[in-house]
Amino acid sequence: MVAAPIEVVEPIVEEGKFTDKPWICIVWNDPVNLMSYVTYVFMTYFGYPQEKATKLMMDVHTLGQAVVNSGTREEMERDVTAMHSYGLWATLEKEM
Amino acid sequence: MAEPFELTSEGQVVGVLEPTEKIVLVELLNQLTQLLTPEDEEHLDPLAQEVGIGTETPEPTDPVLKRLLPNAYRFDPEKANEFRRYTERDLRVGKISRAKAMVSILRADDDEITLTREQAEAWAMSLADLRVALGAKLGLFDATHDDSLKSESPEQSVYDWLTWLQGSVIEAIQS
Repeated sequence: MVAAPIEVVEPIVEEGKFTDKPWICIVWNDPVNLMSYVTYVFMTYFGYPQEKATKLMMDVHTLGQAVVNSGTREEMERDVTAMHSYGLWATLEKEM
Repeated sequence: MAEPFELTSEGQVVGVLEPTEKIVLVELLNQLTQLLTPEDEEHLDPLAQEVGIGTETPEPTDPVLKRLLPNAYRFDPEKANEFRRYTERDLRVGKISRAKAMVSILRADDDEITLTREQAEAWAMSLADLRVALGAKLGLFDATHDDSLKSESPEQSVYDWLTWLQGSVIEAIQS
């Protein structure tokens, strides 16, 4: 969403929020996808309300990445594949 | 002139594209389909093909495909390749089928385009794929890319136009 170089930064996870769900889906910033589109994807695919979707989009935009969901490995693999269908850059990893 | 897409009171998404704009879009979508069509189609194990699982599926070397079909595990190449083996084919097929559906709508004679909400959502996805593909060709993903040195190439104009078009479709479906 910005043209700035993409830096590798450890994902930011709010403390205590995902303790029972060991895998996370991360969406990374890219210089192409529109902010309105990223917000739309978070609302449509995850069913997040506009406010939450917009906040996550802004985290991706300003921090370089955001944890958009957590769950089992299979669930996060499904989410990552969906994000790739939408043309977003997403990965999953085990929560630290 | 093209007119931005808008949501009608009947829930349809309607916009106008010039004949030349439709030709450009069809050409880009056909190129995307060609790029995404797996090269190994005929060499594939019939059983694997039936269940939609590729055999060895390394990360693409093509810079555009790398962006369209990214690794699912950023720091674990082994897991990324294994995941790719099971999922990449479906990802390609989904992108191809949305691109082809968009082409068949664009082949109609009328400049006014009427989409259902579902079709408009699929258009937004295909337009994202086109912008990612063209953006990769324009070097937008390169760490050294400087946005202030924007080129005035035809590709850049097409990219900017796709940005406008995708923005208008998203605005219509979000309204």
